[in-house]
Amino acid sequence: MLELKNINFSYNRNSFVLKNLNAAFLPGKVYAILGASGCGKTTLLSILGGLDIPDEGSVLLNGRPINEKELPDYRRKEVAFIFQNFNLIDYLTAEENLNLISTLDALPVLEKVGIDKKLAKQNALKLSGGQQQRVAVARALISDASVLLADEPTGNLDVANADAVTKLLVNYAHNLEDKCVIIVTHSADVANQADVVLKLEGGILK
Amino acid sequence: MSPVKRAFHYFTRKITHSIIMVLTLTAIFILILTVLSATAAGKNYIHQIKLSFSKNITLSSYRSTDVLTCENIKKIADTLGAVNYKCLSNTLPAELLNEAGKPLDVYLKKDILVSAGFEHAGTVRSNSSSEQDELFADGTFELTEGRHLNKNDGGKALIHRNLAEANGLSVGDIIGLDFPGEIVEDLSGDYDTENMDLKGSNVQIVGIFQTAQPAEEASGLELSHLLCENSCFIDMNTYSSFFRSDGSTFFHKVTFTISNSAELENAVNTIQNLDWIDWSACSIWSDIDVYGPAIDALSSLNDLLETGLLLILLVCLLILIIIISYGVKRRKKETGILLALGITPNSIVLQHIIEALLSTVTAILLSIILSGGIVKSGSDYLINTTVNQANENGDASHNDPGILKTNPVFTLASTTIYSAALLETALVTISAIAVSVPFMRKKPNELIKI
Ligand SMILES: Nc1ncnc2c1ncn2[C@@H]1O[C@H](COP(=O)(O)OP(=O)(O)O)[C@@H](O)[C@H]1O
Ligand SMILES: [Mg+2]
Repeated sequence: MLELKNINFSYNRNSFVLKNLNAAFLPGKVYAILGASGCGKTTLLSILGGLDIPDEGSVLLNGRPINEKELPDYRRKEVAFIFQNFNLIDYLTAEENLNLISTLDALPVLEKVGIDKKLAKQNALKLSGGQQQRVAVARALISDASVLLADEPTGNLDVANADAVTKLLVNYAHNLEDKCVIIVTHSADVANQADVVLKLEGGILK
Repeated sequence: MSPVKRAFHYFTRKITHSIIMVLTLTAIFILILTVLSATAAGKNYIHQIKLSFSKNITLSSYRSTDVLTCENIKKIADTLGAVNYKCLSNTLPAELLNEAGKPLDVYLKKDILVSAGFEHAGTVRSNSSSEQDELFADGTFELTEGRHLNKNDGGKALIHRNLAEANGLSVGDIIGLDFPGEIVEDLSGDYDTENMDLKGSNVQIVGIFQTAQPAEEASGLELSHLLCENSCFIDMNTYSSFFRSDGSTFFHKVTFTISNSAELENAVNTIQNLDWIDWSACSIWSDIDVYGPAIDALSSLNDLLETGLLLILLVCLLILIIIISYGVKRRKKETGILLALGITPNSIVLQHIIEALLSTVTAILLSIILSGGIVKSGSDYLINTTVNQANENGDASHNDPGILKTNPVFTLASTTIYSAALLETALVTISAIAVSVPFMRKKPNELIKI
């Protein structure tokens, strides 16, 4: 459903981050992307998520390239991002951060990631790092997006919580068949639960 | 979540930011309101002054007998569309005699000043018809015996009951009018005596009048021949015969009455633009001569305020853009996140506008509570100083124009508040759009570190 074709990307001219990268991501599957720090994993996700535009090549959704004008629509409907640094809105509560993009009841979704009602009503930035990360995960889960992009979603979590979050993400792809989950991770546990494990190295996925 | 809801959350939770915005906007609103109120009060004041104008314009021509002829007066009245015109009495001092040429006893009240040569003098008044004369029209005199003088009369007169009784005169008797040397000399100050033929005349009494309401006590110098009791009216033809002219009836003074006080200035200009009037021999007088300086001063204050308002608006726009852009730049991360979550740039711009408008509404409410005092005193101060200065400089104070002494009644008119609110809303919206829109062109990645 989501395809990358001959993607080239660099932040400055002398050093490329992604080079002639090709990849295809299928619905119902969980992908884990591994790679050394600074190899371009986040960059790859941001291109998949329509936050940045590749220098060359195209992102195809169901076989159709996405043009720049469609990006806000694409970001809202097709993809959901779990940011490495959470990126919650600081003047909203945890619950409101979810309602920012969805009209669904946020409390059950937050419950699933272990955020109770009391925490849900607190200002998002007053929560601990781990709690914020779980709110970020919940915000992606509630979006109903067809592609879920997670940038080290278990990085700040203890083993139990990491496990729970990983299960939720895996279930998102497996239980809802038209969804696909792409997780950037350093965790072997997460990689083990993925259907496909890819390694980003030298600007391409292997 | 709708932009309105986001804006509301931002406004109520980013308290410091909101307070700065509200205070700035309050200051700006009060400033705009003060200027607008002063302008409105000034305009209103000018309007009130103009409304209080008497609708009369007086044209005098003492040195020329061919300007205010009946035809010309009618011509001017038509040009003005005057609703009425009144030929004010022409007056001359004259010595009063009986039929035999013996001086009459005139009324001399206590402490009255009698000029040398005026021991038997009175004042001769004349009008096209005596009934139209202002002294009869305003009720000072009333006719008690006989009839009024009309424009076809010749050699006829009305005398005061006082004079009649003191000298045993009654309707049908003849009296003489004479202009001895002292009186002619006195006349030469006001009249071009070269053009006068003061040979004197005999007139027959056709009516007797009396003082119905005593004329206001004149302050200062009072001359015996000017007393009401020593006034008599003669017909226009006899009066005209004292002047050398082409024979047509003329007046020295005419008052035109127009229908609308607000048109007074236009009417005066219209008369002044009549090229056939010899202005070296004529003069025009109206309330504009009294209120002119105050109106001019107020008008220039208004011009100043209107120019100032434009400048103030520009400066405020600049201040708002700086403040809002500072706020929006600090919200780089937030904007990046919202864009990354797929919230459209339009929705974010709208949020920023609504936030600014929430501050505006709060500021306006706050201003209205505060401004009762500030705006009133600011605006009153401006108007009062201007009017007082104009009063001191102009000749208005001599004429004691009541209205200029009363303070302008200040009310914070709702239309002024609306205008100010509209202006401020426009300023805020323009600033918010000017700041936000360019920001939205950026990609989320340029705004946040993801
Ligand atoms: N905004 C940016 N401007 C310039 N260089 C960047 C930017 N973001 C990332 N980079 C560089 O691009 C490379 C890839 O970064 P990133 O995708 O964040 O790596 P990863 O997520 O795998 O750690 C790194 O060398 C990083 O320094
Ligand atoms: Mg990274």
